[in-house]
Amino acid sequence: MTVARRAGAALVLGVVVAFLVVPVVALFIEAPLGDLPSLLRRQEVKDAIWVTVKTNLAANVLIVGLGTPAAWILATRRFRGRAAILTLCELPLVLPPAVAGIALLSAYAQGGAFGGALEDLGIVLPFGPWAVVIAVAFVASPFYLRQAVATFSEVDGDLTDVARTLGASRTRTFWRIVLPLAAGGLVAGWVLAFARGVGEFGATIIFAGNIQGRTQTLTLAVYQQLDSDIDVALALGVLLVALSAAVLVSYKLLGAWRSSTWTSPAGFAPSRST
Amino acid sequence: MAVLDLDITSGLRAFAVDLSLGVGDEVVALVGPSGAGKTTILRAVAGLHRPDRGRIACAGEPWFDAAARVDLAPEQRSVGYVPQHHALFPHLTVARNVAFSGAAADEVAGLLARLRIDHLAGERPARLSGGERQRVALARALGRRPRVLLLDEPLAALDAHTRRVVRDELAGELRALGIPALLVTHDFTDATALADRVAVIVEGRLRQLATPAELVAAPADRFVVALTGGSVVPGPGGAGELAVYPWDVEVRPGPGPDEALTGTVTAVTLEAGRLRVRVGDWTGEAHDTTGLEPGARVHGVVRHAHPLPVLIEGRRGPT
Repeated sequence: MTVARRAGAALVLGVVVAFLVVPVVALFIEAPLGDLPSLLRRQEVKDAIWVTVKTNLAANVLIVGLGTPAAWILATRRFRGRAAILTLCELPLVLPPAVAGIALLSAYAQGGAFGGALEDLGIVLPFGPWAVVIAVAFVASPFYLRQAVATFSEVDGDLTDVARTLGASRTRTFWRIVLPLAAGGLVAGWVLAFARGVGEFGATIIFAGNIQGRTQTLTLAVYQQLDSDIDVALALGVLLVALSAAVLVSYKLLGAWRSSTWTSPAGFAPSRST
Repeated sequence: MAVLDLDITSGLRAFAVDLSLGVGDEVVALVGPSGAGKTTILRAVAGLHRPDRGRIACAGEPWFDAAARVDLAPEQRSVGYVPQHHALFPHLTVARNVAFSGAAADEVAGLLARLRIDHLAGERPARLSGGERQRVALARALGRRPRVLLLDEPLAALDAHTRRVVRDELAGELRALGIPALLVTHDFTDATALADRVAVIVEGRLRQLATPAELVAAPADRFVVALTGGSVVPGPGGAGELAVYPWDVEVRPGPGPDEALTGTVTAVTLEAGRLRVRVGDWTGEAHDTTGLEPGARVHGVVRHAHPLPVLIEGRRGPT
């Protein structure tokens, strides 16, 4: 009975692990690893790396720069419509990326809801680098926002209260107490958003197109190279696997580090009577 | 003359806090059951809770005045606030926690030495014991050089032994400070050890404000009697009610004379070296346990009793 149970458990886990690992292993088997350096120096690869770096950098600046204060407000204030806003912030998580792309087109393309107004201001978003930035920010921001709201909510309100009574303004309290305590959680959220952003495909190809050197990111380049040079597509695949592994490991390390630092012993948990 | 004046009304979920209190250079303990609004009062003084109506002033300077639309931010008031569980900043060392108050390095060192925690200057709060945390929280509050000190259940997180030691130290510190201090506790023993006067708060209202000795000598109502460790028994011939304290009732075996308290022993305990005998609704003391086993019929000879004023429970008590 026990042996059968163990064998059953091993079989189930084996199938799951194989299902997840086989494609990645196969990628490394099929990829011409010896030619990797020369393949990655090809112009279309260099262009894709550069487009990915600059659009994701801009998108992440937007996500963290606007997301952090928004998350702080959502975590610390109670107001009408807060729950609705929290739900709306999570909308891109469940929205199919292709739908996100067509929605962004509907909003900002010529003839779209706001496209005309933007064009009057001399701003044309679709099929340019800013379209990539907006697509990435749209699909990736919920990962950061969710985690940031949760992290800020975990900061004990007594700590910020005491900081205020000790003479610190709201701003100083935020920088000296809240941010250091929330930093680990914020970075963890940002790592997830970054990974989602680099992997973005559906919304980008619809809203920004697939123009080499302009809107073609690494994932779009993989798609393009499938038709022209499968070796380049495989090399890009290896590069993205390495990046994803680095993201995953740093996320896990960050999680371990967060749970080992400034954790108070049980019984010291925040509570508040009347 | 009162240094800290408060007269506030603040609606909570089940009742409204409605309190008028003047505190001089003394320690006033706010004592009452959990959820009586004691912490709300502290937070209002600190500027962390905004009352619906009223006024809070320190040495004549208004900190809050609903009518005049004055509401100073917490950082603009001068309070040393020690919340329940102390709320030490977990990412800062002990010295940096205290320095957060704005105290200069030599002041920090002086405070740590005075509270005998200078050897912990470089430690993080997670590594400290309950008593050490309490001292760090007090040092940090004092580093602000506050005009008012606010302590919320300062001894609640401590085990019985540490509690006694820290209580004695804290009593000494509070006496030495000589500034108005408000202290929230639900423990009358802590209140008597630390406070000059005790404000009994029930459902947001002041039932009685008096020294601990006065509370025992002339309790305002049944709640105060229970809080101070006494029991309420019917007066002679059923006229009125009396408050009796264990040390004023001698428990003897047997049914006893007519005017004595009578009953059946429910429990016998040794408290602070004295033999306490619980008999139904009242408690007395005895020299030995002979004939006082649980279940035994006994009587109590009342040496001293305090008549309770006839009043309706819940009415705003005299101050």
